[in-house]
Amino acid sequence: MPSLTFTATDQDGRVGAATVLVGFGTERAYRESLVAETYDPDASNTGCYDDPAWPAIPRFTIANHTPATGGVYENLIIQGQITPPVGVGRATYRNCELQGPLGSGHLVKAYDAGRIGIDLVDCTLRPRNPDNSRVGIIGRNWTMRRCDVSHVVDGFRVQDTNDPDGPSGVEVWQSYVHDLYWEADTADGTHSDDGQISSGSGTVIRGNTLIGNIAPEYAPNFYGTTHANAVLMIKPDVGLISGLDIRNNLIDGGAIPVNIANKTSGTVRTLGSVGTISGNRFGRNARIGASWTITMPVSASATVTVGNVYADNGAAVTVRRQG
Amino acid sequence: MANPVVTTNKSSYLPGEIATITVDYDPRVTVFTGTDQDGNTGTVTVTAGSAILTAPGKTVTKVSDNGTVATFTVTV
Repeated sequence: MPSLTFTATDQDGRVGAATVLVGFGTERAYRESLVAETYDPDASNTGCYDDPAWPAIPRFTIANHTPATGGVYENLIIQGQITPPVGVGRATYRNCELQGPLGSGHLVKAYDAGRIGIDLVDCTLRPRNPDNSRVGIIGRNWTMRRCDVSHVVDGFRVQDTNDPDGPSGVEVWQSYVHDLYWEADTADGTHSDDGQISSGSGTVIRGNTLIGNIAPEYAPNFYGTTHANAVLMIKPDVGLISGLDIRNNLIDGGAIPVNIANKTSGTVRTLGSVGTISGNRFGRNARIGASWTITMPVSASATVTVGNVYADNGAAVTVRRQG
Repeated sequence: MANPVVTTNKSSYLPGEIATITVDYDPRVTVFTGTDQDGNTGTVTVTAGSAILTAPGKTVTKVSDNGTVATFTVTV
């Protein structure tokens, strides 16, 4: 990335510096030049633009929002829930702050049948009133690219109660999920996850940075630490899960970073081949320990996990098999 | 005493665009103490500050410097 660093020195030799990008007129142009899976997303390249040029663009605060097919909504502060209407086609939100409602609800709720698709681009998802049920985006037929998600109990949740085993239509690219919400609402508190996949086929999660920690204001958790539950919780609570495409992410934290489990109570669902989980790099900051980095039931395919390594030394991650 | 804080008017520029850079810094502070024949003391505090800015391969122009804040321009 072309950049230029300015270095200042005061009368006593103390030094300060600032680096700027060169070659892009706006931060949006820079963002759109980023090639997925070639870098680790962070706060500097996800969420709303912090280019000083942007405040000159009016930003409007609105409440609950129902997008129209083909709608492109930019530069909004949305203090309510986004709910796609029944219909076909898609709607896009770009450079929007999704702050959610004060009462019940999510930032985006998209799990009813026959609704239009939702695409979030360069958006910040951070609720103004976090609570133990508020999720960043929940449902089916949605995508997220270069978004910054925090202070929600789950960053994103994939589920479809109407066609639970069918295509989820969910893709998460180049996003940064971190600093989740936590409270002691049950014996061990909220099971906060960066992403929870509860049903569907073909979910894509690629080129993201997914950090399974709770925000400092909610720490310590039940275990006296800042760990979230899982980074990715993959469990067929709503329907079967197959065809996952989870590649080239940076994953760290959580009790168990990637926790794949069968549903063993109520309507029992047993996972087979869940898809591809490869090329991911893992940190060493999981709560339970390295032997649980990827945990998968015996019933699930053993061939889906290749090329997953620890980021610090490139050592291969061994899949833990159980239950 | 802190390191200088460098801020720019934008985070991204097109080639040829003029960047405005502000440097906020702590000047050197010196306290002079005077004492008369009876041992009474008085003090005066003076500050001395200046800052320079560099950027690889670029010509930097100082626009202003008041001893605590300096402003520069650079053609990117």
